[in-house]
This record gives sequence, C-alpha cells and structure tokens, in this order.
Amino acid sequence: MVPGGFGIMGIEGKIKAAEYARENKIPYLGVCLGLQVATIEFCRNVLGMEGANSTEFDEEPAHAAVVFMPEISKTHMGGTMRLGTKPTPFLVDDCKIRRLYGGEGHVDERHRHRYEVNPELIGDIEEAGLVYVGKDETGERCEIMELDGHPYYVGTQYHPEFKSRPDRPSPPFLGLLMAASGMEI
Amino acid sequence: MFPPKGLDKVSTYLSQGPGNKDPVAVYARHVLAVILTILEIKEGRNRNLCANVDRGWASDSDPVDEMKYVVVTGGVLSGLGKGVTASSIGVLLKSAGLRVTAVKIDPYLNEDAGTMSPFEHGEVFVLDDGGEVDLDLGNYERFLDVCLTRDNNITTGKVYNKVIQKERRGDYLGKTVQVIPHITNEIQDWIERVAHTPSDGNGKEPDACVIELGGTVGDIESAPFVEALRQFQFRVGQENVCFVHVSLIPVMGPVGEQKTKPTQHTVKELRGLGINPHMLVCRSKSPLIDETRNKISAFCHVPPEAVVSAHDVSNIYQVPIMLESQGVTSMLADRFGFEIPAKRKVLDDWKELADHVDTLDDAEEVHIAVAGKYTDLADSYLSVIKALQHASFKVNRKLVIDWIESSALDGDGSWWIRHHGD
Repeated sequence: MVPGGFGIMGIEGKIKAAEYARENKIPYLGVCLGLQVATIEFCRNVLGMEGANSTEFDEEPAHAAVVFMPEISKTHMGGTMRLGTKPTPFLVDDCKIRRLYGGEGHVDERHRHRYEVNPELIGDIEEAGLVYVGKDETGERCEIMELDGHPYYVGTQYHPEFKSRPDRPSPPFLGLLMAASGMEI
Repeated sequence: MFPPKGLDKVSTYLSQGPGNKDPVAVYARHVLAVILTILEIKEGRNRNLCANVDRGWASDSDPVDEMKYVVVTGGVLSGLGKGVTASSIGVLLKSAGLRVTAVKIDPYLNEDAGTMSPFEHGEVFVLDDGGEVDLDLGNYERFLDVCLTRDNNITTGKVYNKVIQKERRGDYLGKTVQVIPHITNEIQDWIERVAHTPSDGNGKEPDACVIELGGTVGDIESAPFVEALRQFQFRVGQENVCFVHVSLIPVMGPVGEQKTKPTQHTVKELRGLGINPHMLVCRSKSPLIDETRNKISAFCHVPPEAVVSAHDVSNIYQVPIMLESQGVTSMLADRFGFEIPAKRKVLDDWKELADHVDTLDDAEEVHIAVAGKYTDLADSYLSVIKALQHASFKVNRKLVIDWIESSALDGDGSWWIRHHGD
C-alpha cells in the first residue's frame, strides 16, 4: 500500500513498489500520491514513456504524467488545496471497486491534493489497461483507477481512510485486505 | 447540426428498456445512467455530506433539556490519551441515548493543521467541509460516528483572527480589545455555537458536547482557554458542565509503587486556575489499587469513586467498557440528570467489537506493506492504520503492517523478496 504524501523524498522507491506489485500481481492500493506514482510507473514501464514524472518532482519532465491543477494557488500554502468531500461518479458498469462500494452510482469521499493525472495522457493510459473507472463530475479529473487483469490494483485520488469506521471499513481498504487474504471480490 | 444524425435511433433504443441487448443500446443506457448520476450530484451536492454516518441508532426522545458539556483537560505530560478518553466518554453518553458532538481545542497559533508537518504533529485529518484539522477529530468521528466541521477544531489562530476582524470592522465600539473579556468571550461563543451544530447526520441538535483541551494545563498558550472554560461553567450553569482531568500515575521501584505526586501537582495547578475537576482519569500500566485511589481522593478534592483507573487494555475499543465498569456513565447521569436506559444497543455493539478485536490476536495474519515517508511516527498515518485495522476486523485476520521507508527501497524491489521469500 502506498499512502498519500508530499515532496520528492522516497518517490522513486514508491514507484518501484507500484511496479513490483503490478508485475507480480500483488494486491496494491495507492491513495492520493499512491495513485499518482502508480500512474507514473505505468507510463514509464508499460507505455514506454522514459522519464515520465510528476511536475511536483521534476519541473520539466520528458512526459508529464501528473500535473499541477490549474485552479490551485502557487503562492499560498494554507487551505488552498482541493479539499473536502466531492462526489465521484463511476463511469463503468462493473468493476471491483464499484462492487466494494455496494454498486453505488457515485461515492462521496474526502480530498486533499494539488496535483492530478495529466488529462492529456488519460486516453493512452486507459487503452493500455489502467482504467480510471471514476472521475469527478466534469469527467476530466481522475479519481479512481483499476488495472485490468490484476487481482487488486487500485488507486484513489481521494483519501478513503478518513471515512472508515470500526464496523464499516472503507471499501478500498476492505478490498485490499480481502485480496491480500485471498478472498474473492 | 442539431439534432445530430442517428440521435433518433438512440432514443428508440433507450425507450426499449434493458431488454435490448444490442451493444449500442447497452452503451446508450450506460451513458444516460452516468449523466443522470452527475446531474443528481450537481443538484444536491450538500446532501451528500455525512454520507457515511449511520443514522439509524437514535430514538427521537429527548434525554436532557439543556446542552451538557464534558470538558477534558490533561496534566503532567502530553500524549496521555486525552483524545481516546474524551471519545470514550462520548461513546458512553451516546450509549445512554444522548446525541453527542465534540470540540477539540488546539492552543497553537496556526489557523489550522493544514500547513503542519506530519513528522511533528501527526497526520492532518480532513473533514467533509474541507477543514484540515488535528487528528483527534478523526478519533471523534470514528468513535462517535459523527461528521464534524472545521469549526469543531478551535485554535488560538482562529480565535484571534476572528477577534481582530471584528475589531477592524469596529464591532467593539472603541473599546480596548483584551484577552479578557474579548478573547475569552469569543472562545465561549464559539464553543456554544459548535455544540449546537448537528453532527450525526439526522439534522438534530446534539444533547451533549465533549470538549478536549489540547496540551497540558499550565502551558502559556492554553491559559486563555482555561480561563474561558472556567467562566463557561457559570455561563451555561454548573449543573451542565463536568470537568474531567486526565493524569498520569507512574510506577516506581522494584515493588512497583503507584506514585500520585504528579497528579497532585497538576490538580493543584488546575484548581489554582479556578477549575475543580469532577472526575480524575488516571493513566497507568496496571489498574489503580485502592490505596492509590484513596490517596488521590484525599489530596485532590474528589470522591474516591470519581478517581477512575485508565490502565492499559488489550485494544482501544475496550476503553469505553473499562470506564463503564467503573461507573462513569452513572456518575455523568447523576451530575447531568438523565436516565440510563435499561437496553443500550450502542454499548452492546461496542462490547462485541472490542471482544471481536481481541480474538483476532490468534487469527491468521495478513501482512500489508506500507511504503511511506514518515514511517518512524505511526501518528503520521493514523487514519490509514485505522482503515487497515477496520478492514482486518471484517476479514477476520490479524493485521501486521510492515513499514517500508520508501527511500530505502532497493532498485529491483528486492526488499519484498528478502522479507517474504517471494
């Protein structure tokens, strides 16, 4: 599992972790930055985009897989991220993560981020099998990713952990634990 | 050109309903479903707040006629588990049928926790309204099953900001603006306002509010808050306030004597500031012995039964049960004048959960490797850990988290192979 975070320290290690989980079919859950590193890894190693990176870590990467969201302030740090509960409609009829959410048409989860998957690359990435099954209500911002043909390779741009309850675990986390315990989702 | 060519065909498909299995028809229905979902979201965004809260627990009865406040302060040192104590008291009130909300006071000058390093302060918790707050708010949301707002986290920065804005607007009519009464009044107004804000998803005003004062009593930064809380008991009526002080009982020497002096000192300090605690919660390794309890009672001006032992337990869900078994709920009922119902489903469910978690110690393990940056301080990933734990309860496995400092990951992912063989 790769949780959220900021800054460049340890980023290559996280990308390696995503690569290892993808190639060896080990259950993977990436939250926020965890979704972004999985996307960067996929661009580099599946789509062959050498030097793909986030503009958070490399101002002018060969391929910008993850980019700064246009509406965010570059001068003020306090309270200027994309924050709080936003709805995410599912764009596919059936996928593991939607099943985990009980088949709901959309989910309401909490956000905290400044960067997003580069909208210009979504088409290429999805064609190669990493599908953004949930996007925000404009249909452009990637929120949930799921990899075809993998036991559980899921990322969420939002932070599902904030709404977990002792008796009602957060669905993406439940999926990870189910997959890690060898259960069918 | 509008309508585009072929649109009539799509509408024919849609009118035929799910019976038509033609791929174009299936796709058209899917697109329509997504569009409808998006329209629904756009019309009623705010209704989706508190979406995860269980609304089914409470009856419509009104157990109390006035708002009840439990104020939790701490002494000796920080990190005693004030947050867990306060949340657990909230659970007990809820189990007696009260709607409970919570306020966390952080005396630091930051406006909110958003710019604070997780290294230093633990995770930044995010609320439905986008508030970036102290991680204790997460404890409250998880324990009480509520959804809170940014206003439920009061900081010195927020209070001063508000008072200075008022001063600039001229609201104080030429008066000299001072800590007492302007800051202290603002704090009290704030607490009262937030306490009355519905938080359990049913849209009803809470019956009780648990207020946790961060830091330890005697800190310079918390002084205005302690003073505000002292005045607050007279504003809302003493019968509506219960002061709970959390302290530490260290154990010394080869015989393991429980030492009471730090507790005596911190209570003395608190009383010197004008607050007489009604209950003392004593953190210790093992249960308080009667001698310790009586000594604390004698020196701290509380009856022996109000000296509550908060010793180490097998898991945090046992804490409300431990407090219940020492009569905390009935003490609160006596003070606040409410009846404890014979059947308390919230408490029964809680016991079941606590015992279930205990049984997982012997269950099959599930290993989750977490590759992160702040792996030295588990508080940096508190909600992630909690979410993993909650999920492990559901799949009946013993959760083992393998922390990986991501900067230490080898180039070929061999960390995993070294540790797991495959």
